[in-house]
Amino acid sequence: MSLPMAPRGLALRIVAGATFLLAANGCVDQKDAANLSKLSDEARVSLPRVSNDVAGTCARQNTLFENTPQAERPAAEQAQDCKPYQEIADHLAKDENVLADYFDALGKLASNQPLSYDTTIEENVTATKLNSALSANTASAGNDAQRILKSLADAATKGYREKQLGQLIQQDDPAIQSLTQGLKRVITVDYALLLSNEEVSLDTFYKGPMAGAQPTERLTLILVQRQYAHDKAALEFRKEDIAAYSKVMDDIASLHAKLKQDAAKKISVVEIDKQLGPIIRSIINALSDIQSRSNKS
Amino acid sequence: MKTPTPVTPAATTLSNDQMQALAQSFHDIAVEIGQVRLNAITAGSKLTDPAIVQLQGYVYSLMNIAAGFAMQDANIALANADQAVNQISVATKAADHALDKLQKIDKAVNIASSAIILAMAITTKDPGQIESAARSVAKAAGLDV
Repeated sequence: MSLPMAPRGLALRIVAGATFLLAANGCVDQKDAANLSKLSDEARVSLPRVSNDVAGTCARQNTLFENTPQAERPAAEQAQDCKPYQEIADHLAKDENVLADYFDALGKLASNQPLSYDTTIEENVTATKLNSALSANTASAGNDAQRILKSLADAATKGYREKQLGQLIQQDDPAIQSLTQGLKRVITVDYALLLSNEEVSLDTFYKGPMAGAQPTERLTLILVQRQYAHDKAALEFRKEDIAAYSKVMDDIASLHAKLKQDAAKKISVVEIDKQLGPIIRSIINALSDIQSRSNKS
Repeated sequence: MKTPTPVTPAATTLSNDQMQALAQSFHDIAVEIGQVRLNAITAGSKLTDPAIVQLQGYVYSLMNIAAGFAMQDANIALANADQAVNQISVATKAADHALDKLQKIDKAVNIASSAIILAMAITTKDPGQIESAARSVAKAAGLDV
């Protein structure tokens, strides 16, 4: 039995009509928002490589401590407990993930794709609950991330589309500004101090024995000097990551402020993408540099 | 007639900047102690000499204190917080200054141990203990208190 078919001309007219309606509605092609989605993808991979090192530096300092002969350190002295630092690193990674989720959501809305309220958002809302032992900087970033997540969850529940993109940008700008500055501060101030501690540990570990080396240990000394130089170079990469992270956070804050201005002027997404493309690509490059350095060290 | 109850000033939570300044002060003292230790080794002390080992322990302790202030110990509240932070700052700066180019290990040991006691006093949040410990650091650093 054959089913009745609509005439071929009618089908073409339906497709053409739908295309016209979508175009008239200001709907943009997915590739127009590709920069925002790419930014989200890169941020998701690169930012935690820096913040995870809050725990990484603790582990490396413990290795140096454990490799120091017992006779050269007080018997009562113990290796650091890195668990709290791991918790902080996990917390920061979640906050960074929220930032990535947010730009992913902007990309989806800009290309008129629906936001889905899925279990990931719900899990993230639960996961960002604050730990009272965190420093004020980390806790403040967590509060901002929580606000953004709730706003994303609301947007998904209410079925936001491109038309509500401007609304989302306007309402979330204070939290985005605060989150980016909060994360920047944790990394450039708190983590920088931990890394500076690691530098003291590194210098203490190598320089003492090197200064006390006997003339007969010449070749051993050369090998140790090379290892010291290698470890110092890795530390320098991490310091460069701090500078890159700081720039990324400043640029994301500035990008969002411009998005907010453009949203108020009701500029089209295509135009916004065109205007802000260079800033977004500059952020993506800084994020890629973090990845390259972390692959080297 | 009733004796008036002394008014205890309300405790104020230290700001981010104050916590950071505390962390940096203890870190800086750790760096200076590390340098005194290294100078002594370069001058001929052995890595296993008791004073050198003791200084090594102080370097670890001071760095752990600094890291704790920077990352973990949120919401430290002190009565007369500004005054307390000022006392700590004067003491730790004096210690840092005294340790710069210091050759005497004994004096470095005194300064480091008093700085660690000061950090412990800060965690007790007792203004009296903090003031007394800050004075000890300043005295060890050679400041008239």
